[in-house]
Amino acid sequence: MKPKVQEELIYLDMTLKLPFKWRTGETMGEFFRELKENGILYANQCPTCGRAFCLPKTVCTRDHTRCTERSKWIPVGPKGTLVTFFMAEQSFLLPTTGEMLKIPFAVGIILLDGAMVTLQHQLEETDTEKIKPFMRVEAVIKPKEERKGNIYDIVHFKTINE
Amino acid sequence: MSNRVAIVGIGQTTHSGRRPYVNDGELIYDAVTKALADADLSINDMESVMLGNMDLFEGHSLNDAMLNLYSGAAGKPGFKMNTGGTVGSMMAIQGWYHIASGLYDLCLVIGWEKHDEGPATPAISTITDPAVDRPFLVGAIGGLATVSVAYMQRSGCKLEHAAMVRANASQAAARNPNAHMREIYSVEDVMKARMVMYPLNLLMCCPTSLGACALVLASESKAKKISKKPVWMKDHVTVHVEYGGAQFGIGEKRWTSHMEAGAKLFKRNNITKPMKETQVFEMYDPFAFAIPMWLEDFLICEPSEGWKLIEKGALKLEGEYPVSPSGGVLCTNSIGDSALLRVAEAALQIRGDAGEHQVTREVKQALASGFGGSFWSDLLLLSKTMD
Amino acid sequence: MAGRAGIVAASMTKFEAAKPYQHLMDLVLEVTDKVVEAAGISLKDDVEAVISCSQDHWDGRTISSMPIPDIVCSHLKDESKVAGDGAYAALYGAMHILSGDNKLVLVVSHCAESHTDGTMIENWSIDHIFHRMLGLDYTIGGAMQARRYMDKYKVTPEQFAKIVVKNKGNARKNVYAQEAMELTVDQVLKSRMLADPITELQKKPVSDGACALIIASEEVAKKLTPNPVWITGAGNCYEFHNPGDRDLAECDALVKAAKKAYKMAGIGNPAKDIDLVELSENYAYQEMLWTEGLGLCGKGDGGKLIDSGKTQIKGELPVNPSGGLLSGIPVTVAGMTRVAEAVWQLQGKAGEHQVQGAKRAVVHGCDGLCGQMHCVLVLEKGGK
Repeated sequence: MKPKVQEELIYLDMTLKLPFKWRTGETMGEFFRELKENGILYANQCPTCGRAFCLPKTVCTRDHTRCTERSKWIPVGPKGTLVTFFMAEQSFLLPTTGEMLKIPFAVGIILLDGAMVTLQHQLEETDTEKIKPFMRVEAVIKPKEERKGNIYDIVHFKTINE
Repeated sequence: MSNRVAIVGIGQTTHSGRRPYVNDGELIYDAVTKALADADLSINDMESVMLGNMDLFEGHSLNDAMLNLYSGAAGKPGFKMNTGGTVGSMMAIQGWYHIASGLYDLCLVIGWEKHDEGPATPAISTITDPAVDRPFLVGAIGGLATVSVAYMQRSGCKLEHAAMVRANASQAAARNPNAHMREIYSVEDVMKARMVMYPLNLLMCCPTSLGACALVLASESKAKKISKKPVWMKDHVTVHVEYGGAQFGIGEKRWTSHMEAGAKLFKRNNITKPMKETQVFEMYDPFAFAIPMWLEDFLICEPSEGWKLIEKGALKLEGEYPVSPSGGVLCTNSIGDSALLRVAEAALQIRGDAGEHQVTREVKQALASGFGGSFWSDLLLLSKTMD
Repeated sequence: MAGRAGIVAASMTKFEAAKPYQHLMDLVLEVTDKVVEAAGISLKDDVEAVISCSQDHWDGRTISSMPIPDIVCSHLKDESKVAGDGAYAALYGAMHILSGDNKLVLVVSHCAESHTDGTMIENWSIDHIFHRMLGLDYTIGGAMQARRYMDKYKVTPEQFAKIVVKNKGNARKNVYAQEAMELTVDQVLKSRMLADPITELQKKPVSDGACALIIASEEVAKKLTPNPVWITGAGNCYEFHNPGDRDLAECDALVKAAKKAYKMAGIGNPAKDIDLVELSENYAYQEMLWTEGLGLCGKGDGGKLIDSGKTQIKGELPVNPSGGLLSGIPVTVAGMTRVAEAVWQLQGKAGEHQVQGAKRAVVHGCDGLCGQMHCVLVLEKGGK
């Protein structure tokens, strides 16, 4: 039976919260350890095709070779090239924290110097007129005492003139 | 040789932003009832019932079981798949495998979403790895905005072209009674809309809709008996591309999942001129740059030609190669059914049953696509005749 | 139908209460590498499509298959995800082969239950308008079902406990098992009460792990191995969702699924025609109920069946010689490990818990409150 007025008869308000404890695993764990202890961004290199991954990958996506051999890891960046970007001008709920996104929020797809795949991180610049694909950027890394071994050890990427 | 598979029943709900007096089960029931009526069959004729949507959007785990009274799956075989934006097209493909394998003759496939019941954008943001890039992906729009910027840079396409795409879509959706956003917008209206995620403004992003779509699929022998106008699922491909490299053309030629899908499907079916040999394309177009950019990516037109086709008006409903004459995902996006709607709408065009949004040229073969996750493509080829 | 679909090889991780040093995808990688090696194929060149199996809620990730293609070398290849039990994914893999679309597919499932709180996810699978706020989870639902089963058919908690003693005892011989224990009926009954009559030892423990299969066309399977295992029967079915819409002491959906699978495989008398069963018992009572549903004994005779000793590893019809789910297997992976165990049994590779002379096995996967969905597969070696 349809109500005459098209109004909600009743809502059920529920908030679903689910706590998680994710494991980073050996490869990503090593990447974060280096970032925390030495402030260096590492890429791991595929012994077969030679591509260097930053963010690191446990196996090569193309030839399935293990890339865990530590001696094959190379420091990359902190400078890099912006491949493309987006800029949020409307706020959204963040699934990681349950808080609203602080806008404006610019995110770049960045190719670090020496790496062959991109990573995604926040840009310092939030004026879309001043953000151009292929411009040069550099990772701003937190001072050692503030680093925790997670992706926020990189504050953001700042624009550099090169 | 696979058993041939035909679409013999098509049903969809009307789509909207809110439908206050309908719960999710009733939404599904609506689409199922329409599809069965279209096929002139009853739920008891269905040998398997498959349901697909995105679990985290409504917050229901195992919703295929939870809603089986409404989908008609209770007491019957069934499956659930969940692959993001491609979930709808994957439902059609899954139905194809059920029948092509010879294990089933008649199946019902359903895609649905009730976007008003949960937070879609935060849910989509969880597609990335929690340790590294989850904080930096803001829903699907974030990812789509980045490829839009790259496309503008690469091809010379301007924001105005995206606005033209949206304006065209609004005119198509106005003729589709089941579409969600049916207001007509001019190019100026679109350009004036509030910026959401640069370069995409509110009208250049797909809406969050609610709705459901269902198809009845049949084997060759059944289809010939029960349907006067079966639409044959001639071929389908699913392709994934690695994350973060090839699709931006870093250190190699740019090659995306759409490109590989187009190349594979056209080669297998000896299609050399897709714009001639297929007469309409219902594309999964969740943002305004999708149609020009992905027509190029599916290898349907030359690189940097997509936006020129928009300028010429070639992709409109009455144009030379109509793309998304239903208004597309740009005007209706209930994710779990979006890609299934593409298949349904393409099939309606082949049957000549699309009503006011029927394209003017005769449709013998049609394409339908799905796009999901970060980089999955489904591409389906539907045909009026079996061979 | 394009010939038969044959399982060439299977692999699994060791199942553990937590795997703190491994990323979720490391589990997928481990089983993928093992199964590819066991099949003697190249992941890059021979695998045409990948079917993964996982659930968004358990992974805390929309499209939980997002990271999988990169791990299984699916660049520019076909990957799709079944969101349900692993036995369904195996069946979907077989459909890929039977349709003639693919000659060889990889099927892989993963889940780390230790990452989150599973009772919440169980609760969210229950109808949100009427029943969810009652706080039901599978254990409470299971207790309702066990109680109704006891009332209707006069089965006893002692018989449930015997299942635990058998399965956790069998697990002592299985190198992949998480909880192998030598127990007495008394110990099972006296362990902590969760929801009467279900005690802690009667419930599947929290577990992390993964499982993989290689399924191929008849021609390819025969080339790759001298003893492929054929999928000769398949059936699946949903139960009515609301516990009030069904009699919880019956499992009609399982009966339907099994009948379909048996008809396809030409099994007339399951109790005689089957050599071995690997089924999905999330709680001890479920093994008794599912053996009835699978037609291994009459209705209400599940208790008598365990009492008879027939289902022991050395009995006429061993059920869960691997130790079953009670020894610890995560949800979604569960059904696929049943398939993998049966494959090893039929190939004579089960190790210490090998059942001698097994030629035909039945496997069963299920998920949901009181068994919402069931998938039954008949696996055989040899034949035409």
